[in-house]
Amino acid sequence: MMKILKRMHWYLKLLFLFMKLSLQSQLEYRLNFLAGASVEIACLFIKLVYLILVSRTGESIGFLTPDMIMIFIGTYIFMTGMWMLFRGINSIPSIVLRGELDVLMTKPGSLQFLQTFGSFDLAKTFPNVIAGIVLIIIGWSNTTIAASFANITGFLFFIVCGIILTYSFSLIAALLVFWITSRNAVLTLYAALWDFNNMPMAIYPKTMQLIGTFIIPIFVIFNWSGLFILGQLDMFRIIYGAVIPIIVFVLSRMMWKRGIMRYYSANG
Amino acid sequence: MNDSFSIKRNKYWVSLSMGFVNSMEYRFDFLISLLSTTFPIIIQVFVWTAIYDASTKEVLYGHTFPQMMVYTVFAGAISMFIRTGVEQSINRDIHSGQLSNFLVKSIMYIPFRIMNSIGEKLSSIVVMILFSVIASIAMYVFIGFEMQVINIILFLPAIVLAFLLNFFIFFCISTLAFWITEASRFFYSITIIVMVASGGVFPIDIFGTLYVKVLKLMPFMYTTTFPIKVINGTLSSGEILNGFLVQIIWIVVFSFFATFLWKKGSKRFVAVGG
Repeated sequence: MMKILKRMHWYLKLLFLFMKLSLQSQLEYRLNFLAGASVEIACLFIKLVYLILVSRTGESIGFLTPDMIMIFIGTYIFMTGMWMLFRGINSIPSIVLRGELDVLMTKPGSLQFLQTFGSFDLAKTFPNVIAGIVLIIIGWSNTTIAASFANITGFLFFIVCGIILTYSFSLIAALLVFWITSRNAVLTLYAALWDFNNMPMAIYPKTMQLIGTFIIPIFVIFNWSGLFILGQLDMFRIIYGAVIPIIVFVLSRMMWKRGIMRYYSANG
Repeated sequence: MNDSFSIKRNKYWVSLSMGFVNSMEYRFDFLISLLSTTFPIIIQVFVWTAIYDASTKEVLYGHTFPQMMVYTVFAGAISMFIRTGVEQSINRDIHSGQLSNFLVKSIMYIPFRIMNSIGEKLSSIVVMILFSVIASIAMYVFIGFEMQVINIILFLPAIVLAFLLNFFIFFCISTLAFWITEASRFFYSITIIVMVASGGVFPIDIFGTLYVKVLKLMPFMYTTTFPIKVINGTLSSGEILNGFLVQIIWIVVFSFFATFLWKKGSKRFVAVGG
């Protein structure tokens, strides 16, 4: 037990070190940092247009008032920041195709950890995370939803589940490079699927909601935290929302192991 | 004389075919990227359906539900057609030093890039036409949208002029690469802003009358909003002719501006290597 705790502590220390190094290396070229942030701010602008659309009509969509929709859009923007954070995952296709995993393979520690947490894109993360949190806070404070301990804990729990799902899905999409050499195609498709969450899943037809929940559970990432505080999740869905991140994470881990078996390079 | 003309004509035709061949090099990528461009349209169809269902008003942001559907579908198709990505190609040429190849050869860079962009768009044009036909049939069946033959005929010059205008706008923007080292990411930001300003994401009316007034003084809405208004028949023949005239004026202005910036920027260009 002590050994596991010690190991976890080592990885945690490494994680903070990687984060610090990423920030330092990105701030070295400040214009690049600003350019990266500017792209995200421009993208953020489009996401916010959806909010303008809803709030200017002032009408509720089903059970969702414009303020509640703001919470969902805020969660989506926050999660986009998390996705951008994992630069180590997003760079897997190019690293594999260039045969650059060799160096990491010789280092101590889990290869998956070193690759996926080895570098972070903080320039793209900051604008999204900050805007997402602000929108969630404004949206929540404008509604009558109680900021009780249970609601905050439940909300944060499903946010963490969403981050795990984001990590796992992004990893699965990136790992497809081991089977499909067309890396752009898969990532483009994944980004397009991601954008379906720009608005709450409640606006889509029932069939699409079922597909996005049970077949490709991408709706769980963005909707469960909001639906929880709105009291729209029954016990089955609460348990499902807690279990599915573990299943998808295990699946991504298995895929990583399989993918690495297919990796070869001829680097000198 | 004839020989020099045929060589001149030939090299730009080759540029066009090069663009086409390049776009078809990675077919799976091409197909998936086309599939992905339909996703935002699908999302918006659902968003607008939900908003109109929830609203007690029939007209929102100056559009009825059928008009909004037509706008959403054609905005997606037109954006796909006019987007050339020329700014990234030029940025690559400048920063990789490839531009020196064009400077020493007897080929004019701007016509080369126009022809190359048209070549790259050929496959998208076919897909856009197919998509538009299917979408129009679907809209006729579900929301009773009828397209007039005269509007289809007028739409063709509108979209060609929109393509050229968009090309020259982005050509001017791309010359920033002569002055900025890390231009690629800024180009992404500018592309998004131009897309919103042109009405390629949502109708510009959603931002309010002041915004629309300001945008009417700019060229962007003539790349997307204007062709959509031509095809959905919301403009009178006088307004359409006026629109064509404005498109041509903007094209002339931006082509002059592009040539000027290109000449200025080329003087700053330095390439070292074998």
